[in-house]
Amino acid sequence: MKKKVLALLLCCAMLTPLLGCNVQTKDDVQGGGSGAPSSSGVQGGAVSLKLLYSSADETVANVIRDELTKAGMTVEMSAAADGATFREQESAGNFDIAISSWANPVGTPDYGCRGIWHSNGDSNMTGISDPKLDELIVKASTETPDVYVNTYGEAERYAIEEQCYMTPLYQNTSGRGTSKVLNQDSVVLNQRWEKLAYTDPSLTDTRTLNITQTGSTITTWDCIRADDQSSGYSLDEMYIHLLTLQPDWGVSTEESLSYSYAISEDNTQYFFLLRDDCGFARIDKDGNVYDSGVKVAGEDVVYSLNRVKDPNSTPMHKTYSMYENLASVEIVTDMSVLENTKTADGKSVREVLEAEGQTIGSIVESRGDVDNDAGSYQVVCCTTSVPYPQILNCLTFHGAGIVDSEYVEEMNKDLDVASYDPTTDKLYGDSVCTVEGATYDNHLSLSGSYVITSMNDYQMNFTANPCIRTKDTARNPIKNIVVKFIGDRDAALSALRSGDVDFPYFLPEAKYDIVEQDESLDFKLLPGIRVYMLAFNMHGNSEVSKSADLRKAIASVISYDDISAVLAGNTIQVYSTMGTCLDCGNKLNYQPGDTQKYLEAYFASKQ
Amino acid sequence: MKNDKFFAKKANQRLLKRHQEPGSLAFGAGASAFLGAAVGLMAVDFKTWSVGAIPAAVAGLFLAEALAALLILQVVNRQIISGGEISRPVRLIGALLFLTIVNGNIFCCVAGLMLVKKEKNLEYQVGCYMLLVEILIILVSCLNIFKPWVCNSFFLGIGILAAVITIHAVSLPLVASHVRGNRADKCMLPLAVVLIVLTVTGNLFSLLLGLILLRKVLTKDDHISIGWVDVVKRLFRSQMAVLGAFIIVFLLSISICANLTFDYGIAVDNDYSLILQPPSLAYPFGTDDYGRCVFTRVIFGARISLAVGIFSTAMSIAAGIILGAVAGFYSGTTDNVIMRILDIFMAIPGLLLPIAIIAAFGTNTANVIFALGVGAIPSYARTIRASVLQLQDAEFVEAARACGAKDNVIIFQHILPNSMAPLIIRATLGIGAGVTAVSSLSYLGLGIAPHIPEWGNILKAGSAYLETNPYMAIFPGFAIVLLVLAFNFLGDGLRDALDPKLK
Repeated sequence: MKKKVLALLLCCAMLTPLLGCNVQTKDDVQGGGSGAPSSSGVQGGAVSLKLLYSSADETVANVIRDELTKAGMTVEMSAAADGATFREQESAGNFDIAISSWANPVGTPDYGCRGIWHSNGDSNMTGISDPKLDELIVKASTETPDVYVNTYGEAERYAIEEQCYMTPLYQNTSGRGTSKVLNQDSVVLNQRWEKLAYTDPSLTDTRTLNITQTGSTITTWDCIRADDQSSGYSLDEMYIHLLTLQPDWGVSTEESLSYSYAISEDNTQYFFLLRDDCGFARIDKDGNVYDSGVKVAGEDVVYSLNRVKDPNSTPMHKTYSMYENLASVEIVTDMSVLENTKTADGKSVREVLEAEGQTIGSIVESRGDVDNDAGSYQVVCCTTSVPYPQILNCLTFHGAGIVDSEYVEEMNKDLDVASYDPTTDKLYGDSVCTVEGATYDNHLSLSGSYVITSMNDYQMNFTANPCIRTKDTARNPIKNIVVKFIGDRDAALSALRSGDVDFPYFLPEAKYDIVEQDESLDFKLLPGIRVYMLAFNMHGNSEVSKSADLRKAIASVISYDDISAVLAGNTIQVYSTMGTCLDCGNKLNYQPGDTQKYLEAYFASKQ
Repeated sequence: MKNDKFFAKKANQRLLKRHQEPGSLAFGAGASAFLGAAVGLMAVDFKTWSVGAIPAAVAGLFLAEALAALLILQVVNRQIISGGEISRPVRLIGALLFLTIVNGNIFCCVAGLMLVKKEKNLEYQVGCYMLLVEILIILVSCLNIFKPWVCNSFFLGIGILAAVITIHAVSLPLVASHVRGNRADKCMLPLAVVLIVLTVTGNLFSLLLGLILLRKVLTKDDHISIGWVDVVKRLFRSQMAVLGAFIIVFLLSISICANLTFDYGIAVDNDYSLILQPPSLAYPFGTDDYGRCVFTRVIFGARISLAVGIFSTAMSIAAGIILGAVAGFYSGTTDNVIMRILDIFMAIPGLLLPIAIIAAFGTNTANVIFALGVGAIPSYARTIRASVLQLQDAEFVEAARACGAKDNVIIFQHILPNSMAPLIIRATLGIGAGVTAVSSLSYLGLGIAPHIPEWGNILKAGSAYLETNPYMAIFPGFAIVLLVLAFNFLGDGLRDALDPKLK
């Protein structure tokens, strides 16, 4: 027994010096802790911040907490359970810093900044109010692309670096994992369902395509009342537009209501030559789609666009601010207007409109007189109050979908916007009409490439619209599409891999490699449309509202590389919310010592 | 004759049962073989059918140790059956099994310790486990030397642990020789005090040994057996119960010692250059999606899991005892009012009450303890009430009443001490349930803040990487299972030890 004790002591005695000579302590490695202020707070005072984030952004929130904590600041985490709670807290100013994101589905720099930076912006939740910034945004919106690069560049430099109202985190990427049943070439950015095609074309009419979306609360099927989280993506497909958005963010007449379009020389008048082979589809009591016989015409365009730009046209109008500059929409009846108005390259509007092969014999006013084969066309002219070329992209947005004017007017005729009560009043597009069961009464009249037949808690059922673009013989969209509600991205990924769905809309960023390695799936990495920013509270009720130096000190701590690392590198570095569609050449340029420098300035100004 | 063989076998079995060694050897061999097989399974990559070198070596080591223990078991069995005694050389060979502690094989190590000593009193057994806990902790702590750096207090911590081990190692032969039956030599008194003081490392075996020594030194008549020491003695007869106690003491002790030997920064600070690293010597459980060491996180996570489990159970026991005793003792309207209110609590489904409380008061450790504690009060109150109702008419209570004792004296001095047995068993199982509950709450995002290491949090982070980086979920999951199992084993052992019918 004694021997054993002795041996044990010997072991301990041998172990201790062994440890001593090879192992370094934390202070040995990190230089005695003098350079690392993590335990002692920042020099010169204390910075305590409340970080607001939506629980979906927990990963990035953790990185920011970690970085700020390592820089000596105290961070209080405030997680909002969902997007609605987050926006509520954000607009109430219950935060110092917030992880805010902005998606730009329209692809114009104006949409990328006006809503969140302009003091009257409809999504300006962080309380930015700066006349100089407003002026720059308004000025840039009236310019053509070659000029506005400089103006937007100045605006974002002012907002991001000079005043530091927010600081960029990253732009998302959109990993498109699809089952092999889909033709990989048909999967693109700014996806239209009509473009999707099966690898085996014979399945087009027989096989149902299963896709997913995260939001399951559908508010409405009226395109101007929808918010983009729930029904926006589907609404893009349910109403036809004057133009469609292309994968490169340009606009085109493909799959749209127009043959061609022309822009006047002064960028204030926009002409569209309308097709006569698009009709409204309706749904009978048994959920069968039928052709209503009503064609989509100029009257519907005028009605729809006037409706979207008027904030009082319907209660809960969500999309009017984008069309602020749209002064009037009318059907052109005087051919001389087309002949005398010049475009930027010197041609007349008529020449440009006829460039696609149509010969305009006469332009007519009413829908009854239209007959393209006989040469009579309808032409619609949109006039903007200021030169505003970005309006073209706005016309591709779901808010500018073309609705059935007489039908909608008839349904909403008793509507009084001021006294609207959602519990009793019935409006065109109330989503309850499509829900399966006792309340099913599908009253929609739809002009888009897909028609919703019914929905329940788990999915929405769509059928291709049989009466649009009937003269386009090459058109062959997949006949039936089911959109499943899968809120959790990981669950969507599992559904894709088990074959339950063919095309999930979102995949978790850190899991792209799983899809890539799966031999039964195709994968395509596309740039996303969402930019994540660290927004500062500018409501005035926080320390960060008062000091640009403090904001810059915080911004200089944030490292893009760290965020990219935890998101498996599936991110894009970006300078501002305009970054998805416009690169003004600006680069963030914080240096290692900047945090201390700005903090010193902040503490000095406080005394 | 078949009958003869049958009875001979029975006789041999009875003979073997008189000795402790065959049982502990068999348990050591079986448990090592199981561990070896488990590690071996983990070593195989079933996608490519390749075998990891290090895990395979570890598995081989465990299996070899199991084989060695099995061989020694055969020899020991033969000697017992033939001569009734184990020879000294065989006992010395047993000492070699002690070396298996190097790879953390406590089962074989315990078997070795049990084999090496012929006369094993209770104190020797407790002392063995006390020593093993410390050695295992120092071994686990030393895994840190493979990291780029160790925390500043590492050498201090290791030094303290080494000193404690030395004291414990010296005390082991002393207690083995200076305690006879229920009486210990007077010279054991200072040792008892030292051992009790050393409990600051969280080693409850040290406390237990110290208390036993103290009691035995101070005993006046060594013919009277001491009730609770007998319970401990019976408890130590059950291998599983002691294993459970060992795991609990180990986790408690390491969650205290980790403050000196582990760096909390490695557990909470992100390291973006180390994201999702597979297990290695420096990061034995790998790193998570923020580059934090999962091993260090699991070690620090034990602190919160144990604290919440123990404190929430303590809270519900305290409230349960008072409410149950009052309800049972006074019966009638008092009983009705208290029990109906508790029935309302009982009617709310398991996790729903804590979720509601946390949603209302916010997320922090104190609220989690409160929320879990409140939910468990009714079951303890019911247990105590049943015991009190049963004991109320006992003769000793009537005697106390006849002597004019006040109600509170009768309740707290006569009735409650005699109704503790079911409560203790319930409590050990309750702590296990508390650990799973706090992990469930964290998993749902309602418990502790995500970056704080807590087993449920770590498991939640790992669940998203189950396919690509399974180690992130396996190890915290294993830790939860281990702790809950340990409490259940201990609870079962206590039930047997406290049962008067099984004395």
